[in-house]
Amino acid sequence: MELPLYQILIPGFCLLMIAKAFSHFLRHERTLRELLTLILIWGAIGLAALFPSATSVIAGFLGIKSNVNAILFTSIAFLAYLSFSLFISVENLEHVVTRLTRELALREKKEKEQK
Amino acid sequence: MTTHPSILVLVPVYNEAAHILAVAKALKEAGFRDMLFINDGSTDGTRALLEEHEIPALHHMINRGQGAAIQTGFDYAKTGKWDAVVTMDGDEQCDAGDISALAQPILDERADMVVGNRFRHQNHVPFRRRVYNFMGSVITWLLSGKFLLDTQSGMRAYSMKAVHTIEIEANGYEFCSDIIRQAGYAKLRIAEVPIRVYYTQASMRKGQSFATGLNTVTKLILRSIMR
Repeated sequence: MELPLYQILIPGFCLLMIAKAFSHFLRHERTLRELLTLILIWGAIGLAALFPSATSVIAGFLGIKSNVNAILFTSIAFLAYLSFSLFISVENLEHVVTRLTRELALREKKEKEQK
Repeated sequence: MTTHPSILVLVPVYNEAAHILAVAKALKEAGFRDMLFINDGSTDGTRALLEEHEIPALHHMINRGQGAAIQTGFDYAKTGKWDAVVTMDGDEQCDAGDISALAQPILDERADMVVGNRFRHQNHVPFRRRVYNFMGSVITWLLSGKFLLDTQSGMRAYSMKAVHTIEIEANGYEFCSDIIRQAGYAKLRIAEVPIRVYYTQASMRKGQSFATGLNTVTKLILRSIMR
């Protein structure tokens, strides 16, 4: 059986995300509930990529009757991941600014108390 | 007047120049000498007022949000020897007289974190606030497995174990639920104690709106999924 490239890339990426979540769980950085939720989300995306015909019900419901649904699906998943990543990057920058602000405030207080 | 030397009261403030003196006075009258205002980059003269009246304070150079301000207070608390740390809003919504009851489960070592519950007293909590709070409780429960009646209350007490364990990463209002999530992970004991609350038009304008609520929910979910 010959698989199209997206049917290899997307499930592979989903497996990677599940492995990442599992690693977080093992390091006690995630609860079992979160792990199961993530397995459900990424598993569903991976399975939908592997068996696109299973999404025909949804595709029919949405009125998409061609193979365009696979392209749309892949694009949306990719864009969603990009926007999530962007969100995390902005959050990280926010944390850096906050840490700096905090450090300055604490240092100022310490200097005042030492005077 | 009794004094409570083992409790540090943290009051995060942002543009609350009209209220800080009254809050500081109420705390002193209630016997709480160890207080620390965290001025979160106010632009209304809050800093000058705190300095003029020699009220202990930390000053953020820029506004970072209530969650960030409380974590700054926690970092300061780690340098001292208090038995409990209490946080309360600086807009006169909270009653300093409730602090003792709030901190008691911590001092008795029955809890690591106590959340002030605004819905148990005969408080006139606006309907809108009740709805937002219920949504917050449901989302907090989904993310943390802990169901509390008032997850968005700013009046809380923490043991030093909790202060050392919790690391607030959320700057905005989502910190309220994030703390509960972290407490749940760390298996800290959480209790709720009824508190009084007084709403004014000014405090209603400052609290969570539908837009900030949506923003809070989005950030909480994204933070939980992508962390």
